[in-house]
Amino acid sequence: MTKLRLITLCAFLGLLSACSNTTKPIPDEIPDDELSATFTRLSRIYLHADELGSENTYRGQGDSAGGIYADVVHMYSSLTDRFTRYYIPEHYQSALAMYMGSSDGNAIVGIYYQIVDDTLQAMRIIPGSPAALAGMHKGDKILTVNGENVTGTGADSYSTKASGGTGTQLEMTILRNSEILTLIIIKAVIGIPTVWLDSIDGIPVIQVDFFASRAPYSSTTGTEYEFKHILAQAGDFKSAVIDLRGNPGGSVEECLQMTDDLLDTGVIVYQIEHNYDTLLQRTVIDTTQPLVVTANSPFEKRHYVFLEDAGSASCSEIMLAGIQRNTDWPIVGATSYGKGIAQGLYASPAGGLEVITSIEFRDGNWNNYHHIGIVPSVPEADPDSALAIAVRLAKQAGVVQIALARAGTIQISDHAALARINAHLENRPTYPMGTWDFRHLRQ
Amino acid sequence: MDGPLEPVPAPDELSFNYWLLKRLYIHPEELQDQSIFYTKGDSLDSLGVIAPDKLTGITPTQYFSLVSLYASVTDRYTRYIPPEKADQQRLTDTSTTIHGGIGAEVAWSLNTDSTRLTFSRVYADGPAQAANLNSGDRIVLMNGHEMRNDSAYQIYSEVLKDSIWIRLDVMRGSFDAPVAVHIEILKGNIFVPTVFTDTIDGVPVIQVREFVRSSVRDGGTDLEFQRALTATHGGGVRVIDLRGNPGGEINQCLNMVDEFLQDVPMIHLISHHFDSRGRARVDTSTYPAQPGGIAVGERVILAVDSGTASCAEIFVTALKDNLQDRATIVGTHTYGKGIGQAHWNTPAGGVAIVTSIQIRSPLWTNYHGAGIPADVVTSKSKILSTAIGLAQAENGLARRSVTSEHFEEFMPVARQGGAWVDSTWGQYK
Repeated sequence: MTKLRLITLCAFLGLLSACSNTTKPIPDEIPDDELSATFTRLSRIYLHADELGSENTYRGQGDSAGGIYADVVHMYSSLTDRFTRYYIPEHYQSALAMYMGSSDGNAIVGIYYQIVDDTLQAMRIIPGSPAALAGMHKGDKILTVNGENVTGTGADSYSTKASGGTGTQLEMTILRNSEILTLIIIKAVIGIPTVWLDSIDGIPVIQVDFFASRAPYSSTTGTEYEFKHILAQAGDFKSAVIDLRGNPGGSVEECLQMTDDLLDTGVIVYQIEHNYDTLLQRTVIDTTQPLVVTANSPFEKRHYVFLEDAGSASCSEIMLAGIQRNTDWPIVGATSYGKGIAQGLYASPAGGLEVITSIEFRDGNWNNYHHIGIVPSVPEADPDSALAIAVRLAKQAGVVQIALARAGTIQISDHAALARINAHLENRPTYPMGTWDFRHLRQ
Repeated sequence: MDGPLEPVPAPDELSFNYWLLKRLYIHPEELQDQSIFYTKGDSLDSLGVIAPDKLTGITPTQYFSLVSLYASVTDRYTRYIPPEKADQQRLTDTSTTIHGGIGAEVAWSLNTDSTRLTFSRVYADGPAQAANLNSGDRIVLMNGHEMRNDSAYQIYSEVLKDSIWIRLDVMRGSFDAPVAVHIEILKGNIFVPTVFTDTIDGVPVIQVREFVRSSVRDGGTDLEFQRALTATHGGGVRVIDLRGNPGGEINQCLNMVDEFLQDVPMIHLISHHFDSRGRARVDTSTYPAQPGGIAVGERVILAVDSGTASCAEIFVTALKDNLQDRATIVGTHTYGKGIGQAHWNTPAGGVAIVTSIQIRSPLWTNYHGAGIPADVVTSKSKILSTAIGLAQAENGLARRSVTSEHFEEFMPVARQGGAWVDSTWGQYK
């Protein structure tokens, strides 16, 4: 009998999907035939199972050139939810790595770069990466790779020139300050961090790129682990900026726990999950109340300012919804993407990956933000301006800052932004923190 | 470094149970401080449950502490099973199979031919059926004992218990022209059905006694019920008799309700449980009815009494809330058990049975304690005749209540070795 199990729940936007690591046994009676198996699972847990025809309406309907899984691919493509996907067995590993945020198995140099004045400049060096081991620093400019020029028009060819598998040796000349240095970099497969710490004006700015799943679901330690270490590394700060711009989501488990780390009490979001009850052998709609755990984190009772934009999706929105419901911490930027659903990941009998939208989220007031997004409390479309406002708000930490801003005793160069802050503070709805009413379910 | 799981306390039996109750019991606020249970009393004698020398795995003091802990909560279904009784408890009651029975039920009645015991039901696939015993047969002699006297049931029980071969002389057919029949039955394993279908005064009556996974040879109560629905299809409004039904397995009653409903909630469960990270959590689970069903949207009359409990109440509310006027509840208030228990193995090898699930009807009614009110309230002895009368009126039948009244007097005395003793049952076949 093929062993089938839910690998994890995922919501991220990368290929557009938040992950919650609940392993649930899938009953053995899921058939071994790939179309039957995938159809059975879809009909049990897919959010819009009524879109499905009978199993036979999909048999033999796939593109004949599409190989042996064409019928399954065709069935998935007929569904309206574009996050519900099927990956054929050949793509299982790479798809899983993408959803988990773990390494895709390719060797890398280990830098994030941008092109400044026609020159590649290392903006971030992944700790422990080949570049870091070779002694590359943030801000270094790359001039040549293996003797070939990568400045000016050559910059575009960097990725080709730096290609190669594990063990590939790259000789790079770099410009640091006014010094030219030569570094030998040996490419390797390493995990990529998802949390980065910068300091602007003495304020820690913590950027979260993605919510990577932890072991045993992935080969990484998980984003929450990184997040706590970065917070600790930032020291005894009173106030910090957490940047979720462009963060497409990831593991629900991770973003819930990270929100836990910052809050001391309250509801983050509600989760409505379509499950298959193996005991009762029928579909069940579970509505979960995720509570902020009582476990105390040293990072509670501080002040945080969040940054979001249209690229903040899924798991990022779960975190923002929890913050918005339970605190008056500012959320600066543009309305988020609006993905209030999540997918369960399953291994199919043939070894394919089934990604099925089976979960909906509601914010703490039982509002559905799907297709709506989390509206910032301090709207600011310009990214640079948003960052500057966030840092300023963080600097003035909390209520004191608000009072001061109102009294006009602090200098905010963007008066329009200040006006929006004040307007927001006056109009902000207050949310009752009552007990959960199960009757909400009936809406 | 925090692990992904909340730390579980060292497996001291009392602290484990306290920890479990605190997280899963539906009223954790009832629990007093754990320390008071350690210091309470030292006398086991007053409990009279288990002699100290019979305890295994835990000390008398521990046992006393545990009993005190569980006695301190108001819910009486939340209880502790000590290690030596745990195995028995774990054998959950999933089957009605009886080892060593004949597969028939008798009813008590004073017949004109002086017989007292009449076979009321003969189970399919049982030894009695194989020996050609018929429903309605009246016992004259049993293993040589005269049965036409008031000790008949006592003799019946003893003979059934002590003998492997049961030899019966019965009278068959009408009282005017009876036929004497001799029957020899070798006791065997009996599949005791849980659903019985009768046509009483022209009305199909489906009696459901309990909900079990394994009753007949090839399935459980839901399968029997499906067959009963199919067999009574087109026979007009059905009466479903749930009197005295104490409940059973929830999947059985949900599957049965599903035959009447589609795409509507059948039940909501509010359950306290541990999530994958080991955190105590409260979830609400809604079970929708699946598309299709043998009797979707059909009119139904439900006969209930104060013994209709648990799963039977789920059955009643699921139909009533969804079908509204198309379902009529006849009888008295039901028992009122709208909770469920989870069973946990404890470190010392006992079983902690914790009420951790609260049940709500499809319209979010909480009937726990209160019971479900009847639409047509009658005295206990008139429930079935009233239900049948309603059905007769709707089915266009003339009401004939005489036999139904007799039916009401049916008083279960015992169910043993496949025998269910009641009065006058034998007149209905």
